[in-house]
Amino acid sequence: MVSFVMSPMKVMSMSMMVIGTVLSVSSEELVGVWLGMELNLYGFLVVMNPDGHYIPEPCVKYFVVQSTGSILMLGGFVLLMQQFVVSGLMMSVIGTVLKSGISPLHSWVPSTIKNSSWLASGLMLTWQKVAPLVLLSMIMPLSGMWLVIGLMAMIGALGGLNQNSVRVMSAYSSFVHTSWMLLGLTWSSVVFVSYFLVYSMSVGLFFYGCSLMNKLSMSSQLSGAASGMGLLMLMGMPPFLGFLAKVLVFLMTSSSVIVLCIVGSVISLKYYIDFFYSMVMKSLTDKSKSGVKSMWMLVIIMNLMGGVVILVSFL
Amino acid sequence: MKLMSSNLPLLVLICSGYLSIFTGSILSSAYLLEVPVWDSHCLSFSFSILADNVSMIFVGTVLVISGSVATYCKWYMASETYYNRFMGLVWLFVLSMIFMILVPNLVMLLIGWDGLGLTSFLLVAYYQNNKSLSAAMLTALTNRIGDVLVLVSISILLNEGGWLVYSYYPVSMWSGLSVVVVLAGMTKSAQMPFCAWLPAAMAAPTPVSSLVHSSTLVTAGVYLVLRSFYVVSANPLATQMLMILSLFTLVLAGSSAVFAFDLKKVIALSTLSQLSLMMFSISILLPFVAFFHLVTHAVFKALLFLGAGGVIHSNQSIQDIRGLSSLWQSLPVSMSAMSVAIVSLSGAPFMSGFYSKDLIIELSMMDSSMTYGCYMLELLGLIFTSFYSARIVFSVMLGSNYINCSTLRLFEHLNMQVPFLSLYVGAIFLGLSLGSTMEKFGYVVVLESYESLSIFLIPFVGLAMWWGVLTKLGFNPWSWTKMLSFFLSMWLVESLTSHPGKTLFFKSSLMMYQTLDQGWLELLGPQGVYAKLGQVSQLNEVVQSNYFTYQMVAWSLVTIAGLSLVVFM
Repeated sequence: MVSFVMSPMKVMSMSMMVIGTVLSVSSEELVGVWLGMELNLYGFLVVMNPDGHYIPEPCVKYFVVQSTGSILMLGGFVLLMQQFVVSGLMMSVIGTVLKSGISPLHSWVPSTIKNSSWLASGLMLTWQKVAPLVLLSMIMPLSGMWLVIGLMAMIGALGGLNQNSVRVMSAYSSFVHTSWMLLGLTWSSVVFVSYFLVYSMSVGLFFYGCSLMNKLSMSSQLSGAASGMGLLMLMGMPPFLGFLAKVLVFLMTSSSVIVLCIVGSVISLKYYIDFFYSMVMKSLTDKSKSGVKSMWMLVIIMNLMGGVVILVSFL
Repeated sequence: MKLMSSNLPLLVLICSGYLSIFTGSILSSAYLLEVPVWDSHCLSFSFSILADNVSMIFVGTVLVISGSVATYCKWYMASETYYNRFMGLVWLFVLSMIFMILVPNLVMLLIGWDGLGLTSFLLVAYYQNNKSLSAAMLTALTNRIGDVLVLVSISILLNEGGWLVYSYYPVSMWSGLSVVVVLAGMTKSAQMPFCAWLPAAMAAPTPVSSLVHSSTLVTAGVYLVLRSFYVVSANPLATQMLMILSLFTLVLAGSSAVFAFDLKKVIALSTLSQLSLMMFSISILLPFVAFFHLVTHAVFKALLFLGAGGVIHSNQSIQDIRGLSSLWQSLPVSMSAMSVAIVSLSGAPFMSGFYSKDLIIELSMMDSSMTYGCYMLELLGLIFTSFYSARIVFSVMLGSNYINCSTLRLFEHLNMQVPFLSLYVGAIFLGLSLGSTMEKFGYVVVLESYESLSIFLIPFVGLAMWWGVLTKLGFNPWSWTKMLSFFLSMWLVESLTSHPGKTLFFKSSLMMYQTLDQGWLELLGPQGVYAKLGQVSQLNEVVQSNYFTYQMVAWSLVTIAGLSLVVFM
């Protein structure tokens, strides 16, 4: 259960987190970009610790990684200002890549997420990525982008196969989705934003359902329906919005890296289905009485989603 | 009074059925209502309804029988939990039959035709045990063959630009169409190669059997063939095939009925023999005589089944005729119903079965195209009819045995007696009245006197045979087990027709399973790919497990590279 109490500290840190990202995205100066990210980091470090608890390990990991990334980034900015264009760009790109957890420097993501709370890991996968990704789209050279996208898709798809933790699996699945997002970002920011919204919606739904769940199985109907729904949206199967977002990227892009992204999504289907089966289906057979109701709810939501897709595609 | 008022709608249905029969018999014109549903360049799908005397009489018969059966169900199925579901299915069944009768368009007819197959499946499987399920499956699959054949004939008729197959003179037609239509009718009417499902469908509740065997499911095939008579008669091959197969079915059904012990199965086999008689009369180009027999047979067979249902329901669900005896004492009303039906069935003079059956035999005797062998087969089949009828009468009604000889009179509910009464009328008078009013049933018969005498003697020959076998010869064929099993399995047709197809499909399914699911393709495809990807994923785990050193090395390298770039550039 998310221990989410609106203490003044939490309100302040959450708003700092939001304002930091907004500042970073909308800033004209490079220093402003850096400053926004720092604000966002300090806000988020508080959010990572639920009230009354102190979880050192993921906080320290996250802090170390992010501050190292910031050092590199800031150093790169300074070099840029000193007209060392190539080395400055390179350093700042490496810093940003580290901060957003993108492929060559991705390996902190699964272990950090594994030990954080549902809320923190959900935010880490979605909101925390906005500012670095937007910056990356501006400074990253295109050839490097293709490389990164391909690597992300492959690592995300392959790494998730052996996982048995929901959060680690989501970390790997976020790699695949990030590759799609980056592919959208190379073309237009609108595609990126729409994919990002759909992705955060599904991750939010999935993590919300999981956080309601007790240790053994999905006994609560709402949690079963919500997490099943979230997983199905993450899968990107046709009646769901996840599919629409993928189609959008597919239609927009002209690069052949899309093949790697699709292969990655197909391989990642395997672990989504495994999790879906063991989380939703098995709990349905275990508790048939509550299961039937949650199945109905699932079906209804599924149809609503399908309706949304049809509406969107015809408008 | 209360009973009568609660049954009022059903009684109105029965009366309107009789009204429709009599309107139909004096109707001289035909009406065709056609509503186009969809038009293309030269094709039009239309919904059409044909109302002429044949369809009016048949719809009337269906209404009379379904009304009687529904009344009877109130007594027979009173203790059922799912009574409403059952009745819903029965009415759907009747509705699809009426659809099948009234719609002459082959495309739209398929709705009724398919509906009959589907609802019969649900009704036969009604008791929800393995035996009913396998019987229902057999019924549904055999009917499915008929569906496919109807689809084939629809696609052949595409060349004609229309699908009004009833009373239709084909313009330029592939002559194979008549064979296809005949085969489709034979699946529904359970003729020779497809006859295994009819006795198996006895697993249904008895009122349903009464409905299925009299006027609905099995007669649909006969009705299709007789209505598309002009298509069928265009090809002599089709009529020849129909004649031979129907005669063989006649003998098969009769001889099996002689040996069967199950009361319902005996009656089912008698239905089969009457159906093959109808098919036979179509094959000698007498469709209207076949229709005449269809109507009279429907009424007395429904009555016979309702009587048998009363017997079974009142005797602890015993169906074996060896366990039933002297029922004339305990169930007088049911027994009188059954005896009227049986007398009508065996074609005793002046009952309704007599008029139609007699007409078929006389006209077939007049037909010069029939060979001597066919004629002998027909006579043999007809002799069996009175043989097994006598067996039912003398063992169930009059005989006595040591198993069950209660002489107490049982209570016969009014809901059981009303349908008997309504069907008595038909079983006795329908043949006379239809034969005298309807123009199409009027034929001039010219026969030698010994021929007409022999026709008159057919029932009595059967009786005499039964008497001779049992008493005079002292020969008891029912103790001869090999012959018994041969006849009880309907000349092994059951296993001959159902077994090869089953084996073929199961074997090919096994082969598909072994080559696709268990073969190299699976190993090379999904499973192999998954195993390989899993190995790569393990490699990733190794990297992840000591990611800190990995990251440190990576970062320091990157930092050194960056700084060196800054310094040396």
